[in-house]
Amino acid sequence: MNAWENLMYGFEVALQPEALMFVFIGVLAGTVIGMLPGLGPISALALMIPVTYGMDPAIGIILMAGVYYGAIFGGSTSSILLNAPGVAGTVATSFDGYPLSKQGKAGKALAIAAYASFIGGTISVIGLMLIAPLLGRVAVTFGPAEYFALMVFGLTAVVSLSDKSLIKGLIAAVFGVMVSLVGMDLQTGTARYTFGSVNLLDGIDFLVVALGIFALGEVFVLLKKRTGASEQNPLGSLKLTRKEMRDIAPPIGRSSILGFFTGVLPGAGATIGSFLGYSMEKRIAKDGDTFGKGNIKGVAAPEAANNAASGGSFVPLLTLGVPGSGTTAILLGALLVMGVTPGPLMLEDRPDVFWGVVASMYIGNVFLLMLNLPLIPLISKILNTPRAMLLSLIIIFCMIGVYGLSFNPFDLMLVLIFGLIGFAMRMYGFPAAPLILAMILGAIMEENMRRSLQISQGDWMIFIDKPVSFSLLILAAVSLLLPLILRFIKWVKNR
Amino acid sequence: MKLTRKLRPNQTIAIILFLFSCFYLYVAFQIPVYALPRPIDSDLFPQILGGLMLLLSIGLFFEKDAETDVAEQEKTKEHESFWARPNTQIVVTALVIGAYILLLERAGFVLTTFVFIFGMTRYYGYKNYVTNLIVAIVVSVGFYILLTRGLGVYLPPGLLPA
Repeated sequence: MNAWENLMYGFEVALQPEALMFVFIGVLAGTVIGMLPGLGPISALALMIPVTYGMDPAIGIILMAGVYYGAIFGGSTSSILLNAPGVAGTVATSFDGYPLSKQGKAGKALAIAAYASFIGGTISVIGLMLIAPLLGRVAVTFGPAEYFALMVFGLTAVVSLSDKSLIKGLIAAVFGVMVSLVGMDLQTGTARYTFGSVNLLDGIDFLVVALGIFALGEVFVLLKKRTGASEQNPLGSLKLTRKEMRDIAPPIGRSSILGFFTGVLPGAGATIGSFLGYSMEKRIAKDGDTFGKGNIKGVAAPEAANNAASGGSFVPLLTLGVPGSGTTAILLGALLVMGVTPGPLMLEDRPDVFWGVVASMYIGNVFLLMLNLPLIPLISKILNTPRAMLLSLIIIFCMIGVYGLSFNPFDLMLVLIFGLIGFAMRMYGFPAAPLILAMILGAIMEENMRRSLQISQGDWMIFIDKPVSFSLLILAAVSLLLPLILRFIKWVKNR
Repeated sequence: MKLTRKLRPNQTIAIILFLFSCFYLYVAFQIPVYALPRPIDSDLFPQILGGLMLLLSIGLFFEKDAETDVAEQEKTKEHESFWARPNTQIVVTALVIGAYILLLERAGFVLTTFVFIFGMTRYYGYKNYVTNLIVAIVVSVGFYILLTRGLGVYLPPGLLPA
């Protein structure tokens, strides 16, 4: 089957009434959760994972793709309406979105965000459709040594590109791998770090960590920061004039392509994509000096880049089975729980899931445009939910999500512990994305490392002898050293 | 006490992580060897991780604290009661969640969830009792019925009839 036929097959899966219903539910739930200050796509995905248990994997992942897109759009909504971006990916949107909102043009900004997201998403789906099979063909040739090196590179890239300290990022990543090793070693049956507890023999479920760090941890942060209801500006009209449409078209096109390729790179993702898109347009635009004061191009560019990057980040996830960000790591966790292992073989083994996801991403975008936009005046009322009630409800959702899966109060205690760890990490500048990514990759990394060393009879040179793994390890080293080199150059210049 | 006062947050965390990695390494070296000889056993990866964490904790000890790192000082409002302070709220929340977990299977899902939502929402400062009561009842009973009857998920009935 060629790419077009494959996509049509994907649409067949995604256009089933059940799938359509779940895309809609996902987009709506994602928008609502993503809109809440402090909660972004990662929290939205973590909170929605329990809903997918027992579902057909194709439908489950379609739901999650909807949640992902919805949450990104929801984040943009709170950026524009409240100047309170839920996640870093929508910070750039608030630069011009909030000034527009203060001018009474919030509706316009939201419409631009929706159109830009739609086009960005569409371009990224086309990119995914074209690139993923090619990359998948290359990835089939990967052995355990190459996979190990790829995962090391994926992790170091996420660590080095997080805006926080390199050492703290590495600590978070190492801690994440440590958490993944708790339980019985599947190769030898040896119990590791279980301290005699039967509850830990099966390891620590990733949902426990995800909900603890990203949902409960956020509750503690919201309590600490006293984040309360902000003043919401009136929405105004959602309609755009022809001139406005013409003005935003080129920035959307450029930023979509830029965003997609940024998203494909491990670690880069939506945040860097949106900032790159914004700064590129600011430099190109004739009215660049009005950026930051309510220029519509300043909303269109980061939104298109942001959504295109989100689509791009599916490329390494679906073809290599290696997520490039914390958000896609959660998606990978959800897939694994549903019994689907993304990777080069997924295209052959589960084409329904692969192409179903690609098609549902597109349908998710259509839903965002057709349903979410007109519903925005209604959905934005969610921002009026009293903070006090929101906090207690998020805690209960975490508890139900985990108890409904394991029926074990011990896991609930672990959620609480990880919630406190997540809170401490946020307070002291430790990035959380490397932790969750490392937790997901940790066990697979170890397995591939051990398999490589078993093949080579314990000779570590196997990682160097193979050109692909050697190149990936060099890239990993460069990604770690680059910030240090840049800092050194800056220091020399300053002297 | 004087020592901890002199330490910067990064250094305090570094010491905790250093001790943690020493303990982690100690446990890693206790992992039993597999009966059949293998080039790589279960203990190697944990040993590498423990060593890495040890080195990173030393690195963190010497790293400067970024301005944004240190937890934001809470803006204590005048005449604010002890119970309304953010740090108190965090401790109380963690303790109440702990109590919720302990009581969940004994008292049952509906009762503990209702008390949790109503009590904590009130504690966080929401004063509309009627709305609070309605939300607490709808969420606790609604989720119970939806999950147990609709999705076949077991939730403990506890003191209330199943």
